[in-house]
Parts: sequence; structure tokens; C-alpha cells
Amino acid sequence: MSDDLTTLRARLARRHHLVGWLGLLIFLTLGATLEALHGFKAGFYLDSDRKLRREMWTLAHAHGTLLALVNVAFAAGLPSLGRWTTSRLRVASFFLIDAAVLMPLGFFLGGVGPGETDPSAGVLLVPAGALLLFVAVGLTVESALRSRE
Amino acid sequence: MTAGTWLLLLAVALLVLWQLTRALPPARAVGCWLAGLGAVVAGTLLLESRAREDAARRPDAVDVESVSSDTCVKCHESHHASWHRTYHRTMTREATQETVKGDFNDATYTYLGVPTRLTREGDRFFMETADFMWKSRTPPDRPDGFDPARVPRRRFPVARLVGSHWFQEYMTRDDQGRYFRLPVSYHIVEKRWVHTNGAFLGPDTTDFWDKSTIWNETCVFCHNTRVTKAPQPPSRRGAPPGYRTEVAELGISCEACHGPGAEHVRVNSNPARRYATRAAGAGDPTIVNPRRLPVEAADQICAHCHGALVPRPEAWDRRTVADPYLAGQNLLGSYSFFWSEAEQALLARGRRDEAGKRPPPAPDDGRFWGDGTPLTTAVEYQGMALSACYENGKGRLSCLTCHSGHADDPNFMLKPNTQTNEACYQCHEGYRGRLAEHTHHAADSPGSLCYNCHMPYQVYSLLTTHRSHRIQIPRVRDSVGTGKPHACNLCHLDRSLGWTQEQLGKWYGTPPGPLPDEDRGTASSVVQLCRDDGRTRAVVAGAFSWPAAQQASGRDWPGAVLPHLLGRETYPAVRYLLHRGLRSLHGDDANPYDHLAAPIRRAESLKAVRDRLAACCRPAPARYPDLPLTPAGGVDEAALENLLKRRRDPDVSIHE
Repeated sequence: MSDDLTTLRARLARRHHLVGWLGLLIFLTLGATLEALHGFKAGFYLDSDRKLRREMWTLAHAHGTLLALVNVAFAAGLPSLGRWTTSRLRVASFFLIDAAVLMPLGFFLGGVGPGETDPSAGVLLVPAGALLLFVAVGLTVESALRSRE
Repeated sequence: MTAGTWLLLLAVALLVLWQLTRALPPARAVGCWLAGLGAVVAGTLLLESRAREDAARRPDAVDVESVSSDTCVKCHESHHASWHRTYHRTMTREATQETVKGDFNDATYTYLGVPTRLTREGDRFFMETADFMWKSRTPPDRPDGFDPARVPRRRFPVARLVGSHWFQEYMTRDDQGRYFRLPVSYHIVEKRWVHTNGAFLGPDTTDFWDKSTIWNETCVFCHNTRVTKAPQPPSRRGAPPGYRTEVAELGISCEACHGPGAEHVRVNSNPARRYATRAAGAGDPTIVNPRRLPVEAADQICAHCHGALVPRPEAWDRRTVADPYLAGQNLLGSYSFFWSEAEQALLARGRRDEAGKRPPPAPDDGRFWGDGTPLTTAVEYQGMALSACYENGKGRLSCLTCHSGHADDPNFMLKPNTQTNEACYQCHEGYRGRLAEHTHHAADSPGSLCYNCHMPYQVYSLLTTHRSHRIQIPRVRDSVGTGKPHACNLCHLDRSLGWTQEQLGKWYGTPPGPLPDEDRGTASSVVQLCRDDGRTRAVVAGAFSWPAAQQASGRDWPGAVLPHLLGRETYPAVRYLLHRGLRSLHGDDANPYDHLAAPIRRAESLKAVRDRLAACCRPAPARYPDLPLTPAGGVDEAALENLLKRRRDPDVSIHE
């Protein structure tokens, strides 16, 4: 393993560590806010015609929290696990962080001013984020498989 | 596509491209950027062209294939839920445990001496009563040989039902596909069985099946969605013609107001199309949204069932008799409005030239008062259209100003705030600050509620009264010789029309007009209950249970006067309303009394009621100068008889 890659691994691990815990903080706060909206029976969140908003914001909370945990896990394994090249590691890292931002943000924006039948256009960020996540996970799987060789 | 949506999509595309190309060599990165930007431009152009193509489609080009509300709910959950609460949905249903409201637990209801048994076996409901079309020519209280025990009887399985709000009617199906309305209905308001002769307005009759109708012939069109009547030739010689009637959905469902939905469902299964339509902001041309239509077209959707219409034969397929009207189209392409039953008769006979002269309503018209105001429900559109506020559909007023098919209030489908003067302030804001000055009543009293003077309870149907939809200045001249009770006298039941004329003259400078003698000095309600026909009597009788009228008119005199009129009343529905008024004032002292019991039974119970009320009701004549009272506070029976002798009593029936 070259020094460059080792340095890159350490740098990206710190970044994912920070992003993961920061994400957890943000999305746990969102979760507490949603609980509070339930507690105070907020009409703009709980009314029967706001079902789509409720669903979108719940999904934002769930995906944000989960992807934050994935980032923490990625950071924990990155210094020693997997067989990476510099470019693949950069792409996987960027995409994983982008997905952790785009997917919950898309769900959240989808719940801001939704129509009766569909979330608002902000939800289009979700498939983009999902695509990036798919690539990042694929690259990580590949690195894990290559590390057995 | 709006600029906001386009910018959002562009931002996402740029972000993805930026991330992708950071790890690539410069040459490949440039290629990626070019391809990505090309894809964004191509996608934008494609969505724009789809939206323009959709917007160019005319509503009448929509495929006429229907779907049911079960399909609509998948996307429009909240609108489905609000519609689900309405009585529109439950107008016609199959008879099941969940839908039947009547007491079928071996109940017995007797009318004309004929007992009707209501029974159930599991999920099946039965009405055992006099056989089809049996007519009892002899009232059962006459000792001339009538024997109810020898009436031919039959046990009818209940197939479908109509109504779930005021009444529930039951229908049985024969092997020709005809659905017959059975003669006994359930009055949901009173939680009791009633014979249809007493459920609809008409004089006493001894014809047991007088109100029998075939659902496929008439009721089906307004009480269901997208109807094809499909009459069939007789299956054998001598058999009656049958039907293979089909509806898109029983009851009034989504497609009654929004048009056929199959094409809408098909094209909107594509999410890109949904977002493109939404971003275009012009609505979806594959479905009708009444709010996006011009006032006249939106109101025609309601008028299809809430207007008095005659089909235009040239627009109908004689073989299928499928209703050609689709929501959003021009209703006048398939129907003509009529404004009196005389005009209806001419239109039905194809005499359009004569009908065009608009013959006025006859004195026994079952839908319109003499001044043209609708007197029953399901003609609300005409009432509104006659209003100055409506401006021939060119103004702001429409059905949707006050009503919504998705309102929280299932009773009258009123939008929030429209039960108060806020409804009128939408256009007449100027009255807000000077209400009492305008009404000459306390601002917080019923006399200052716009509806009570300008949309009074002058409409009868379903054993109750309803607000007129003709928004009108209450002029005395419109109530002279027209049968229509005056708004003021529906609240001030103890005052004469002459008194009303004097007050209006003082307050608004309205010049007095000629009045019949009895209208000058005798309480209008008493005059009309004695003298006028069954339509007027029904509306006036209905006012006696209105709390606002009781407050304005006094509560101690109806108990003295009404029992006399009840004993002379020949319309069961009017008897019901008079008795309802007494019950609302005196509770159990006015019971028992059954407006549909045999005359002897009614007389007996009325005597007991009259005796009880005589003890508590001794109105002071000085307080009621317009009432026919003796100095001791009793009823001036001679004066009542005098009025009763002048009764104009053509047989009238209201086509509810």
C-alpha cells in the first residue's frame, strides 16, 4: 500500500467519522422534532391531508440516521479494511457522503408543499442520491472482495 | 415546467456530474460533462413537449372509459376520504348489513290496515306486504266489508336501497331487471317506518302502491354515476319490457363531477408526466376539476342533478339510453332546462317553440312557486340562476362559492364559514359594519342572518323544509297569489302579511301593494295553513319547529291553534310537520300522534293532545293582535272555519 493511499484512507476516515456523527446529531434532532410535532398535535404535520408530508419527513429521518451510521461504519473500517485504488476510494467516499446528504434532503423537501398525489419536486434528489449510494456500495463491495485475493 | 423545478433538476445534474468527473482524467471528464448537459437539455425539452401536448388536449377528447372510486383512492386519498363522508356516496347502494338503516328485526308497520313485515335472514332483507300494484279501494276505517286479512301478500327480497340521510327507500328486483320502489320506507330522522304515501307530499290516498316507481326509469340518472338505462324488449309475449341498466358506480361518485377517469389513470401512471403536469401549473386536461372551469360550466355539473332538466332526444342514443353528459361538457347539448312544469310538458312533447315562450308555473306546479322560485330540492341551480347575484353565470357567484363536494359538513356540503354571514360578505363586505342598520334586527339575532331573509326556508322535500337558493329581496308582491310564503312571515308566524308590508315600507320605503282582505289583518301562517294548497301548507307547517320562528313568534299559541288545523289537514306530510312543530314546543304533551294512522285513530289521539295542550296554552289576545283568538285566549273557531272555507286545494304533489 502506497503512502498516498494510506494518507488518503486516514483523511477520508476522519471525514466520514465527522460526517457520520454530525449526521446522527442532525437526524436525531429531526427525530426529536417530529416527536414534538406529534406531542403538540401540530396540524401541518398530523392532519389527515398531510399524510404525504408525514411520510416524507419520517423517511428523511430514517434515511438520514441510517446513512449517518453507514458513514460511521465506513470510517471505522476504512484505515484497515478493503483493497482500494485512490480513484475508486475517492468516488466511493464522495458518493457515500453525497447520498447521505441528498437522500434525506430529498425526502425532507418532498414533504415541503407536497401535492395530493405526489411529493414536491424536491423528492427528485432521492433517486439521484440512491444512484450515488448504489455506486458507492458497489465499489465498497468490490474492494472487500478484492481484499480476499 | 417552472423555472424553480428546472433549476432544481439542473443543480442535481451538475452535482452528480461534478462528483463523477472529479476522479476522472480531464479528457473523459469533458466527455462526461457534455453528455450530462445534453441529457439535461433533452430531458427538459421532452417534458416540456409532453406538457404542451397535454395542455392542448380538449376535455371532450377524453376517452369515456370509467374507473371506480376504488381506483381514485390510490392517489387521491384525502379527497376520497372527504367524499366518502358525504351522502352523495351513499345515495344508492346494495342492501347489506352495513348499508341498511331500517329495522328489519321482525318489525311490523301497518298502513291502511295492511301490516308490512320487515325481516332478515343473515345478510338478506325482506319486506312482506301487499302484492304488486294491489290497490285498496276502500279505506280500512269504513265499515263496508274491507278485510285487510284478504289482501294478496308477497315477500319481497330487498335488493338495493336509495338514501341514507333523511330517508332510506328499498327496492326489489324482478326477473326483467326492473327495480321497484317498495311501499314502505325508513324515516331516518324519526327512526320509524313510514308508508311512501306519507313520505312524499300528496293528499291522502287509499292507493297502497300510489308512489310506486321503477328505479331504472327515472331515479337512476341522478342517484348514480354514468348511467346507461339499457331498456330491453319483453322477454316473452305479454311480459313487461325490462332493463339491463348499468352504472359506472352506484351513488354519486368521483366521476359524476370529475368526468371519466380511465385515461387520467393511464397517463398518470407515469411519474414524469405527473411532475411535468404539476410543474406546468395548468391542471390536468385528462380529468375535470370543477374549480378550474368557467363558472357556468362548473355549475352545470351540479345542475345535471340539481336542476330541472328535460333530455334533448337528438343527443341520446335511443337504444342504450346512456346519459350523454360528461362533467365539463356543455349540459345544454344533452338537456334543456325548464322553468315550470308547463314548459317541461311542452319540451317533453318536442314543442320547443311553445316552450321557448316560458309558460309560467301553474297553481299546482310541483316544482316552482308562481313567481318562478323553485319550491322543492334538486332544483337549486334554477334558484341560484334566477338570483341577481348570479349575473347569468358571468359573475363571481357559483355553487362552489358556498359548497364543496369535499367539505367537512356532510349535511349540506357547505365550505367552512359559509353557515354565517361570511358567505355573503365574500361579495357584500359593505354590510359587515352596518348589519343592524340594514336588517333592523339585533346584529346577533336570527333576523340579522342574511340567509333568513334572502334565502328563507321556502323549499319543501323529504318531510322537511330547506333554504331557497334564489337569493332574493323579500318583496311582499312575490308572495301574493304565488303560493310562496313570505320570508318575514316564516319567522314572524303570528303576524299578517299586511304587517310585513307595513314594516318593509317603514324600513326600506317599499311602496304597499294590494292584498287580499284576509292577508291584511290575520296571521299569514294561519291564513296559509287554512286557505292555501298543500305545497304552501307544508312550507308554513315546517316553520313551526324552527327555533328562530318560535323565539320571534311566541311559544304559547301554536298549541292552541295548530291542533284545530291538524284535524282538518288532508296531506299526511303537512300533518307530520304540524305535529313536529307541536312536539318541538310541548314534547310528550303532543304525543302520541301518527300522521299516517287511520282517520279514526288520528282523531282519538288528536283529541287527547288537544285537551292536554288546552291546559297549558292560553295565549293572551293582546299580545297576538293578528291571531284568531277569543278574549279568553282560546281559538276563534268561527274565524278559522271562515278561512278554511276559502281553501284552494287542488291535488298537488311535489316531484322530490
